[in-house]
Amino acid sequence: MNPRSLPVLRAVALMVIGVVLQTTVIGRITIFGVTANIVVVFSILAARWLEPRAALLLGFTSGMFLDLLGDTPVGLKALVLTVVVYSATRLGGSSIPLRSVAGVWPLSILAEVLLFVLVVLSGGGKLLQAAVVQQAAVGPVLNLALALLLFPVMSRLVVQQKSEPLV
Amino acid sequence: MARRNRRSNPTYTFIALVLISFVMMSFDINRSTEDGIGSRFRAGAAALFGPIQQAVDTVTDPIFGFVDSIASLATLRQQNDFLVQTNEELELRIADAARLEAENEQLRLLLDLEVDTSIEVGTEIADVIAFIDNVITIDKGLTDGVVVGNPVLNQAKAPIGIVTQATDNQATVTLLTHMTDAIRITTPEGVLGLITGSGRTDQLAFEVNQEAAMIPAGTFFTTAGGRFPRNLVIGHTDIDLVPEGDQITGFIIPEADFTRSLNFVVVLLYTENLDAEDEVASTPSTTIVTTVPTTEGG
Repeated sequence: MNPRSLPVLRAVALMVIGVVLQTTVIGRITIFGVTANIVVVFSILAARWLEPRAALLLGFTSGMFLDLLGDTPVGLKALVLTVVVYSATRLGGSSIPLRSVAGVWPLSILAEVLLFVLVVLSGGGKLLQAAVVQQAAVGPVLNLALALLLFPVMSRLVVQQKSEPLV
Repeated sequence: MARRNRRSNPTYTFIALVLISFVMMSFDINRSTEDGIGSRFRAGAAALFGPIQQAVDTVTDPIFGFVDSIASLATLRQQNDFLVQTNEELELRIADAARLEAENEQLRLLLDLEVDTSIEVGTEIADVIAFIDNVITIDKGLTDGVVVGNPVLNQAKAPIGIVTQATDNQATVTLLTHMTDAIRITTPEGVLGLITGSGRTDQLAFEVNQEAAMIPAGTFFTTAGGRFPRNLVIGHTDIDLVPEGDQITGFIIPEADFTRSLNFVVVLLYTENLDAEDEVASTPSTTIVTTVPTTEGG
């Protein structure tokens, strides 16, 4: 097996676990009426170690599964996670730690804002309005706390894969 | 080499994925609930993740139950006081209803009427295996008789939602707090109104679009046919709902506690009866007693 594909497989396995945990365990735990999103956290942290395209595909796929298992239109969360992962891969540099734990907070806010805009565009905005401020304020903080817990685990499992360019 | 560089540029992948997402959203927003490509994908995802979710749920359910019971101790006393008070009020109303029922029976006998006013509704007890986006996934589906449109109650038989998707072995229930379709409800005085989700777990949006007197605080609302069988207590108001012009709008407190996680639910094997809806609309004071058997296990 190509040693470069091993971290990707581990990241895929983590993402499947993330989707299952989100729908069975994390979704039940509400703090101030808001739940954390482990899949968003996984996607942002994975962008730190994986190739950008692999990270994008992983974010897109996990968002798609969340759409399929939930009630949002198929593609909505996939789009949100694609944008979030792209921001994490492109905006992060050595001086701006957007790819690391600290980046989870602003990127989670981006995810909440984007989710709200897309839900409004798809006709379900009325229901989100009531809790949008609460969600945007508390959600990213919960994600940040989750990232602090997951960072050591992910850094062990998804070893640094980035190396020299393909060409 | 330049072409290979372009192909490996994540921006192109990003643009392609964004376009795919938009196309899928456009198709899925216009989806019907039971057919279409989106529904097939959803059924596939449910089949893929369902067994894993069920296994995880089996392990985590007792843990959540234990933690929930400990966390709830503080509020249980308060809830108990409220329930005792509600119980006393309801006992008085039952006594009143029994008197009216006897009177009604006497009048029927005098008029020689034979009216079957009961609707037998089958039930299916289902385990909740997943929570996401204010919808829950249950472990009962088409093979168990659960279909789209079936009303769902919690452990205390309070309405909590409607089945919005169903596959062979699973179904998705959209909670009342996030439903956009209206549910018909009524007050004990026969004022008909509609409720929809408010986006919050502690209230439901309420409106009456007919001339009506003020609805006083403490009034309990029951279902009035249509999506739910009649006479299920759906919520109450803790403030006076005052008419503004020809309508009353406001919020009511749901009978079901949506802030606590659900371990299992009761699915009523009942679907909306459009003929009955017309009948209800024309005769708001009609009373149908709905019997919900509780003996069936899941």
